[in-house]
Amino acid sequence: MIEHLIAYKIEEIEKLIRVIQIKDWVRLGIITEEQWTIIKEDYSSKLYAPSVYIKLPLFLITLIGVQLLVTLFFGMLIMGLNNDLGMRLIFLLVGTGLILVSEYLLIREFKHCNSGVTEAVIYIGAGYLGISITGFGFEIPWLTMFVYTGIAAIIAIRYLDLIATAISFLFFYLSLFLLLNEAGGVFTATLPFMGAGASLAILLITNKLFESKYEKIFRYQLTLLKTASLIMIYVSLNYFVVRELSISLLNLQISDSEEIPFAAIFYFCTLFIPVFYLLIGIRKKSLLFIRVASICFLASIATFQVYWFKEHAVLYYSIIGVCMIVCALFLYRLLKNKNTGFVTDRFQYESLKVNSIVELAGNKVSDKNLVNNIGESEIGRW
Amino acid sequence: MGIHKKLFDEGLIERGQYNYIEMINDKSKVSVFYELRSLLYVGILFFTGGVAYFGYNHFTHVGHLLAMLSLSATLIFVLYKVFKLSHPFSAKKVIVEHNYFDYFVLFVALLWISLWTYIQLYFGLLEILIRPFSFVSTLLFFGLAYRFDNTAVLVLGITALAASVGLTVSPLDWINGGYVSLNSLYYSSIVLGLALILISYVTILRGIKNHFRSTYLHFGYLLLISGLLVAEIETGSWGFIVMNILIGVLISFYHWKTREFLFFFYGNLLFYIVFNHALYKSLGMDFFILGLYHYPLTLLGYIVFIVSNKKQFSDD
Repeated sequence: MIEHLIAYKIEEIEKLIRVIQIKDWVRLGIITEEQWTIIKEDYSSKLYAPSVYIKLPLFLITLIGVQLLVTLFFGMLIMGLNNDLGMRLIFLLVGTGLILVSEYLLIREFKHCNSGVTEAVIYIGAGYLGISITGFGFEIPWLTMFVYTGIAAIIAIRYLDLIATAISFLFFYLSLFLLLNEAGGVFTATLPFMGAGASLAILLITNKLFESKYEKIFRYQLTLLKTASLIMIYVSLNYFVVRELSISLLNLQISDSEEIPFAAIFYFCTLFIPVFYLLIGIRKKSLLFIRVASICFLASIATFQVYWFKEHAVLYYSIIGVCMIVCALFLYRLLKNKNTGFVTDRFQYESLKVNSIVELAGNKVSDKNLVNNIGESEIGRW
Repeated sequence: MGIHKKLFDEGLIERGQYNYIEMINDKSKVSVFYELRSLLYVGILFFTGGVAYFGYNHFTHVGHLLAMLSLSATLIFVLYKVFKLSHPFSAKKVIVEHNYFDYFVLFVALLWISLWTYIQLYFGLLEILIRPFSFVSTLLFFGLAYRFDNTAVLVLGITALAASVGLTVSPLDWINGGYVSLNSLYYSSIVLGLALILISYVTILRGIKNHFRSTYLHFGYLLLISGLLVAEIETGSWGFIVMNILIGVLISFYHWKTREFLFFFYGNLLFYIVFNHALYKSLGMDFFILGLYHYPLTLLGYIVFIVSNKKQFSDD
């Protein structure tokens, strides 16, 4: 069913994803340039998806050009109108028109796929469309944010857009935050748990989608959502965030030495969520979990410094620094000597080729020039 | 079926390559190279930052001298390590298998800058020594970049070279319009830009470190274009306008042929800015009325042109 929601032909998208994957292997040196020249003849996609060097100038120029064109044609008309409804109708017209141009002309006719041009036209169109729906006053802020969440989510799914995915995620949290804050009382008090619960729900849905047939097409969006929801679970329950938000939203009158209610729970979460992520990362060999855990660890280090080591920050960071260095060197030595499934070398075909051959021979690398001495026939041996 | 299996079945990749991709996909080996390195770097940052701040607060003069001595000792130690790990010089790209080799070389360059900036600041020699220091640093960084094949140090070398002829832009200068009022410094910028572009061609012609070409070209074009634009604005001369239009066309045309989008775009950018300046100079205030139509149409026209010629830059 989701296939019908996507603006591009599925076969072409799959081809494009394959090309991106093969290009990754070329970058890692697994596939040679000569092989890539032959492969791209058979595996190229009809879709136009340029590299970021071309995409970025195209995006900026289109953004400025289209905005100027819209201002040129509709600016005078909008300025002449004193009617809110009339203006919203014009915005609706412009927004819908731009999205249709992108859909029928750029995507169907010229086969653009996230080329920078499509994004610029769609974002401007979506912006006008959003304002036409919500109006200029933003009377109900959470509802406004919710509408933008919906628009961004539709763009994210239909055009496989990463930026729209991130924006829809952020707007969703903003709308949830505004809604619960507006509800007040117990809802405001339970904001951290609601935030963590919502993130957990998104994480579970994302995990389910990862196991589905849509994983291939939405892989990058799902990875982004998974990363964002893992970070948001931590942020929602981080002691610093909860304390500062409680003081500003609930008008808590507490001194520096006093603790917020349920402080122990939040301290526990601040410390153990990164540990938990790290353990999952090691167990599942997931770099995503390990990286998110590292970011959360840094945030936890800063949190504990703010509340527990305010007077001894220099000593605290110096000791943490020593611990990190010792930890890195210990792990480096451990992973180098033990077969844990993790390697300390950069993932490059040449380096792993050497290590694998040496592992087979039961020796350690001693000759720096070994790479150059290994013939093609030896590649397959490991 | 994974794409790598299909490629293998069709004989497009070899068994070794297939096995390697399979190993990455099924996670039988996972590389934590970047993660461990980040952990080490953040640890070093925390520790050195903490110790330096502690020394600065508690040991005043002795602390400064100790800091300089420890920086010097570290510099010598890392340089020794770099020489020990390095391969002999080659005009081609040299790959050293050690994971951190490139970062050691970069560390040497950064330590050099830190040490000498510290010395100049502490002894109040900044105004006297800034130019000679930049020049010596240029020589050192270029030497390191070529000897140990390091593009990041080459970038530092080019930046030091620009600084030694007086070309530095700080964000504050930019905000205050300092870059525009550089008087005759734009000549230095133009000459240095041209020199770097020339070096990029000599690099290829002589086959010495061919992979440095794009770095030279990037800096060369940026210096040349900014110098030409500042010169045009400062002098307001039609001669500069005509020359800049010609240079813009030349750069665009040349890189259209070499199929390098970014450099082609640099040429386009120069041409477009100068062309608009010329229009403004000839039309005066009427330009703003023309601009209403001119900007959207030319910008969208440019997009249509690029997209309709997408095959030209398909390798980029």
